[in-house]
Amino acid sequence: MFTIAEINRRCFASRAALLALGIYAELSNARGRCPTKIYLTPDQAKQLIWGDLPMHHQEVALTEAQSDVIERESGVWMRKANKTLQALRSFDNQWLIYDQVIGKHENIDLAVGITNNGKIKAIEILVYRESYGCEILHPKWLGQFLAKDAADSIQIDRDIINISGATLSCVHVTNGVNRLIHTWDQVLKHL
Amino acid sequence: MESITRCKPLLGTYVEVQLTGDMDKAQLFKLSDTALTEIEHIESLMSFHNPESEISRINRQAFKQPCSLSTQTQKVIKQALSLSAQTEGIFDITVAPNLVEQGLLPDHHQLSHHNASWKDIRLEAGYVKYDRPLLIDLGGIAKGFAVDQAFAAIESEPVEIIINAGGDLRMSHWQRQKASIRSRTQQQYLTEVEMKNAALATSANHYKQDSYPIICPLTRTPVKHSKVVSVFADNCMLADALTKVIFIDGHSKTLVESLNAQAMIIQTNLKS
Repeated sequence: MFTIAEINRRCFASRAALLALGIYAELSNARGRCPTKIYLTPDQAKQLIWGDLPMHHQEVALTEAQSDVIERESGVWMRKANKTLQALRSFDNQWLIYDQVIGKHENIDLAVGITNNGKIKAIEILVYRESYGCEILHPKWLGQFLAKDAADSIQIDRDIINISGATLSCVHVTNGVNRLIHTWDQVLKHL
Repeated sequence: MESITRCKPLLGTYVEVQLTGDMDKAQLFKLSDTALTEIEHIESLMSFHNPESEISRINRQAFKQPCSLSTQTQKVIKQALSLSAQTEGIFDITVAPNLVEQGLLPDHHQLSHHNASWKDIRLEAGYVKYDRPLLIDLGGIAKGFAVDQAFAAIESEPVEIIINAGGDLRMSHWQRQKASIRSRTQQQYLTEVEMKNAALATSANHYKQDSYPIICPLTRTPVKHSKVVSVFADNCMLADALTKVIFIDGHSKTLVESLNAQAMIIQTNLKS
């Protein structure tokens, strides 16, 4: 692990090298942050995915047997929280599922619209949290899922910082969506 | 003034659209839809992962016969070939087989000639033809292009636009704006910089341990150093592509300057 000071030193060295090359560089280190990016409320996501379509809340508890089949079919491991679905359902069986995926460095709330023939209508990210131990400093890091307005429930840095870096993979979201497609196939379409 | 930020999993990463303007949120969301739809369209054309994409069809057919292609894909391949010529092959969209080998791209079980390069791609108006069997992957440039296209789709609207596709970002009102460059996965390794131009892109090795997504086309081996390379340019496609050029050859100063771009390198010393 490098300290900020070490990184600063390295940055300084690279700045010197860059100036020697004539390439302009200006570096300053931002303080360590623990950003939680809040994009949409659950209601906004519903509006974006299904518009004014009337939907009602439905909680779906998956049995262990169902969870096992979904895990096997999707190849995606299910956390305990994924075994109780928080969903909205229309009278013609269109679904909106509020889900949470946890990756190596991120914890993401998402809303996934699934049509009555099992197709993905749309995916919206609601909240994106970076972890790296921040959750220990901020006990409310988790548990704000489905808050009416997620912004009310946390007090950590929620500015949207524009970050440029090597591309982050969205594989955990892709896996989560895959798990939900199989959840629809195994369970929701029979409800 | 209202403001919205939206994020969707697209292009294999997270695409953020931030819009601020003197209109209601519903209108801003509608504009964000327009931008995101454009990105989805580019992904459907240029995804190497998707066997149904235009680029996958071209990879299957273009050695056998000239292949028609969309104006968008034509534009990206044209820019890529132009950079290949200017860098004498340091930028090359035919390194896909090496990425397939590393498991970074899916194996569609297609053959490619071991000596094939960008020089074997013939691009004519509306058509592309390969002189030898090869595989094109636009992963080093298409994300930036997708950002530019999304941007162009809404830039005539009276809104401030920031589009960030997994680190390839573009801003409408970039003057005096700041961005943060991530030099390691951890959040504390953020380096704040002033925007020097409308677009900023960054390349580095560090997000996938033990895999190296940037291949030196001249040696066909992964580049394993630990630099983080960021490039400012007036469009995101160019910024995106130039990060790869500088990542491979840190001395491309003349080229970068001639394209009105600016580069920044952070040495993290994470990997030897």
